[in-house]
Amino acid sequence: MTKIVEMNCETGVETVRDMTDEEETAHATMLTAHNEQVAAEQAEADAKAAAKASGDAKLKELGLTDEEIAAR
Amino acid sequence: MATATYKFLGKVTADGSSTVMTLSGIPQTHRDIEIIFQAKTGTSNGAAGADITLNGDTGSNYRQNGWGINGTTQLGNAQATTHFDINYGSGPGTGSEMMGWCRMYLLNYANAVDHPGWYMNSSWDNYTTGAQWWSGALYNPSSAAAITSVTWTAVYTLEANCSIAAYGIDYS
Repeated sequence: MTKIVEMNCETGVETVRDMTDEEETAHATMLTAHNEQVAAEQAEADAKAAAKASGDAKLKELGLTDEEIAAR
Repeated sequence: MATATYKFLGKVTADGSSTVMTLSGIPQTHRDIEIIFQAKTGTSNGAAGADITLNGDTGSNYRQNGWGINGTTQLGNAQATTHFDINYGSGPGTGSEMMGWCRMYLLNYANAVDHPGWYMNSSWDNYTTGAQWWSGALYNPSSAAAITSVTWTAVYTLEANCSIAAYGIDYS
C-alpha cells in the first residue's frame, strides 16, 4: 500500500498513513501521465539530436569544416 | 510601517516509506509564501518527478510558463494543467543519485482566485548534468481560496529526508 506523510503546521503533528483507494487510483493516473511526459520529452530530444546530426552531415558534404558547422 | 518578516511556518520530511508528502494547516498570517522543496534520491528510490498541488486541488488550475535545460537539451514549455510539474531532470530517476532543490514563491496566498508567483529548480547528480528551470506560475482555483496545504506527489517512493518547508513573508 502506498503511503502519505503529512505535517500539520498548526498542530505540529506528523502522520504517516496508507493511501485510500481513491488516492491510489489518482496516483496511478498521475504515474501514467508522468511516464508519458518523460517519454515524449525524450522523443523530442532524440528527434532534435537526430535532425542536428543529419544537418551537420549535409553541411559537411557541402564543404563546411567542423569549426564552421560548430560556429553556426 | 509594517515590519518585514520571513517566518518559518512548518516542514514535512519524508521517512523513506511514502510517495506523497503534504504540508497542511498553513496559517493565513502573512502576505506572501515561499515553499522550499528539497529532493534527493539514492540508487534505489527516485524523486525526479515532483507534481505539486495546492489545497488538494487536482483541477486544471495550474498555469506555468518556463524555460530550462535538461542535461544538454534546452527546453521551453507553457502549460495549464492539474499540477505544477517540477522537473528535476530525466536523468536522476532510479539508478542514479540526485540532489534537487526548488523554491516556489507565491504572492498573496490568502483568500483569492489568483495566486501568481514563480519557481526555480535545479538538480545535479553524479551521472548526468541534471536540470535547471525558471518558471512563471499562476494557481487559479475555480473559486476564491486561501492556500492552506501543499502536496508533493512523486513517481517513486520519496527518499528519506526529502522535505517541504514553508515560510511566511511580510513587507511594507
